[in-house]
Amino acid sequence: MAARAAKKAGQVGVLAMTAAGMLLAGSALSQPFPSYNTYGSPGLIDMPTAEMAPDATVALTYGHIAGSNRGSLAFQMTPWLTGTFRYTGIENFDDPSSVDGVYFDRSFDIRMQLLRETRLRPAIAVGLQDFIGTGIYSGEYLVATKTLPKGVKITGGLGWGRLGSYDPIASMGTRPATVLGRGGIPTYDRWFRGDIAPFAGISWAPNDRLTFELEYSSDQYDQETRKSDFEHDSPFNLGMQYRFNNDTQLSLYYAYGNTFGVQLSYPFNPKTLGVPGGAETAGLPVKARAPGSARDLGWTASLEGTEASVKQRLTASLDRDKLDLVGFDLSATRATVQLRNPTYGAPAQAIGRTARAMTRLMPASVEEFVIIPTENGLPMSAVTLQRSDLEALENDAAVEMLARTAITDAYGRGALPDLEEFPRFTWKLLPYYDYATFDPEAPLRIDLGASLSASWELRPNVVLSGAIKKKVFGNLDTITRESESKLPRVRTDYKEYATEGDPAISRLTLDVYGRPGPDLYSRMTVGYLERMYAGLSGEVLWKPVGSRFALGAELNYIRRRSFDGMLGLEENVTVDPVSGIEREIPDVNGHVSGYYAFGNGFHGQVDVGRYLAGDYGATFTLEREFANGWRLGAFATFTDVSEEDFGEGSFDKGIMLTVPFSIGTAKPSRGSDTFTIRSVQRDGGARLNVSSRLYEQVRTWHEPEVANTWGRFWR
Amino acid sequence: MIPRLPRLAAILGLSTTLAGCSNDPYFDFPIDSFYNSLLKRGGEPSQVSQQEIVETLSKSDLPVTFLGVADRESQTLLIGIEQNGPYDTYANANRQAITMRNGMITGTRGLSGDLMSTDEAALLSLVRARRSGQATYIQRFLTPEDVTEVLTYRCGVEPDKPVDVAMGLVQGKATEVVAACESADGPPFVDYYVVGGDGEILASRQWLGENLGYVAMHQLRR
Repeated sequence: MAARAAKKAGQVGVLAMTAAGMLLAGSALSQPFPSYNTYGSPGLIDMPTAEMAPDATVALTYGHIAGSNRGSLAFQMTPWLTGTFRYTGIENFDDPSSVDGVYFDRSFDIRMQLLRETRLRPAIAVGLQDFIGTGIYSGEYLVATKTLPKGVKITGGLGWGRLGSYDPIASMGTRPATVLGRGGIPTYDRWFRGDIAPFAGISWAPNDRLTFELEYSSDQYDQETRKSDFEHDSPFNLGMQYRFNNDTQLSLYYAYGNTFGVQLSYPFNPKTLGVPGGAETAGLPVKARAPGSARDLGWTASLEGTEASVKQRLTASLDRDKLDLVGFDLSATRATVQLRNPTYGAPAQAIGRTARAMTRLMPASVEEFVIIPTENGLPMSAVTLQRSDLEALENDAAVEMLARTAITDAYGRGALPDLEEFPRFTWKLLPYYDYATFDPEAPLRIDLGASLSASWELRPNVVLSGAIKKKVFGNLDTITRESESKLPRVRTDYKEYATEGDPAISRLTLDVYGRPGPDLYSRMTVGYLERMYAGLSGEVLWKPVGSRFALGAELNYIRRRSFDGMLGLEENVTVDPVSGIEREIPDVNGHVSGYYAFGNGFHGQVDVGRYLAGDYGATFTLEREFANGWRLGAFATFTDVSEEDFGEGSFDKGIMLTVPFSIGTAKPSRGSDTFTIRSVQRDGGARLNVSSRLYEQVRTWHEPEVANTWGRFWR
Repeated sequence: MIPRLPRLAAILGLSTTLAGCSNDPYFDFPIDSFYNSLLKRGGEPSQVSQQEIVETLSKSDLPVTFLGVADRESQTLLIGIEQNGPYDTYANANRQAITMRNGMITGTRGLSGDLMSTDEAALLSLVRARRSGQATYIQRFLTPEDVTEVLTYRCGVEPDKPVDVAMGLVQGKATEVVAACESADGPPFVDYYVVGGDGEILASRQWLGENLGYVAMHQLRR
């Protein structure tokens, strides 16, 4: 079946920059990266080990062995939990779902460390391989690995399923072979059932560069032997690995007694990748007041005149730090600044630079600085700092200043005079890319082109914005696969949009933002909301400034857009190209969303409501976020659509990877790009894509997030 | 399919786009910054000439300091721009800055891999007094994750031989002081300080963390 995953537009830069970030990678890790096996998990050749990568490690692997091409992404979610996503193409595979003889498969692994290695005890881990879906690689294992002197590591384990197929020594019940639902469901009925076989291995690293591996594999490769020209002549596999300076591993294998294989693995760590502290220029130093000068209020006789001149100088000073002063208010002892930050990914850095500029320009009697960051004209929080603290703590640990900083709700405090000329018009011309993955006829399709976007701010909180894109190269329009859907085709008509829409208006909306009350934020959006839908979208968010929890609600009224990507609208009715059945897309959808920042880098979100196709249900999202902007996460949506009606995959799920732009440039940036990998894009559990949702804008300036990046306050 | 000639035009169009354009003055085109960061990685080697020193000293009366980052083959002259209590901040035209307390470097900015702050009081007091002793010394850095990393050192301080100083406009008799520091959090290092009669550090070789390594500092005018 068509296996097309998420598709989204973004800026080409991030690909190049990720590469740059990788070049700049610092290898100052105390714990080295482990070797990755041909399934993309820490291991030997085909067999796993009990090793864990350093916390937060992301590893990309690509290898070819015995007709199997495997690419994978592994993430060390916590120090004791690893997840792997893998995409495989097996050549000359005799299966009904093979395309031109190639069988494509997506699979997920998870492994947990049960015991850490000590001087005497080996590390012990338990793992589920290919534990969701059709399960061609389905197998479970319990494995122990012990590090010995002179670079030797020994591994032994027991395997079930695929890993229990060669010379089993015992059995635990029977292992069902049927696929649950329409695939895509955890195969809990199989786990640790059926034959059990032992496996073992040894690796020897004579130096930091080279590793030699030998394993005894408990996999009999039944499916490959039966369905392709694979031959299993020996359970012993050999491997050799070379590590380059940037930790890239090149592995060569001699496996199954008859074949050679090769793999490239690139592990990196979002915690250690990039220039520590960034390479941007210094901010201004604090200017301490002369002793006793704070008592001089003589200047207040010409308060207005002073206010105007200070405002002008502060605007110029912030401008050098690429910050925008959008409002200013001065009294004898307090200065209030409304700030816009187009530059710094770390909110604390924008606040810190503004505060330091203020110490240089405010009259000496001004003791209290109130900095009110704004997004789309809305005051997001009020950060109150005492000038004497700034003077006293400039050369201390940053936490000292955090302890003396108050972050409060800015509701009702935004009514300062606006400095800027409105309306304000900005435009950008940038390259863009679009992609579609996992179509067996072309596993990756890419479009490259130019995107012209513009934004016209009529008032600070009223924004008319849009983007139009034109393809230059690409093959997204070559998608030919058609799959039947039992639901209104809210997303599966993607092909039509890709082939007919060039150029296309990606988005054209009028957004009105507001603060209806304390802790409340609102948005009303009208226009062409996304590539497939136009309409009206309203959102309200409740988020106390110091809270880890937020609650939001969104209601949308939609009209389907024409395939050509221009201004036309269609009836909310789709016709299935396979069955010819007409189905109606409901006009109204919406969600209630709960957000929670767990505080240890984990962030959760639950959206409950009605989806595009009219199905009701909930989406669960869990992400691990890093202060520098990296995010990795996964989501799953369960709705009242049955597995049969949903089709391939049974329910909507996927993983997300967000890469901050600053990683490759070492310059501060608020930009990032998110890659979403869905196993299959179907019509069930599909949400409207509204680009201006409130939560991310709001939480940036709230206490948990500001405190998280506080190390950059003095940067 | 785009016909051949328009496709060529389109390629040209895309190349223009790759240069990126916008009317937003703050907009940093990502690919530009990417190339800049790649080309200027680690900073270009730069050497300060005797002539530059003379020119800088004659241009103003402000304090001047020489800074050399050995690992990067990079040298620069910094001018005193601000004072906050005992801390003096020096900067150059590229908006790189260091902060010193009595000549001991307590922070850097804009050098990449910056030293964010230190707890130096105990160490500084021994060095200035040119006395033997033990002191706790803390260095703070940002990691690439933007988390503050705190390295706590235990330093043994020993005064060494007397030296004559003649650097720029700073001249006189001084004493070398050696500080050998060890920590469970980071690599050990040995700092050298040249301390004048008034307890001011006139020159030093100071360890500023794994990214900057050892840097050389000479005060050229106080």
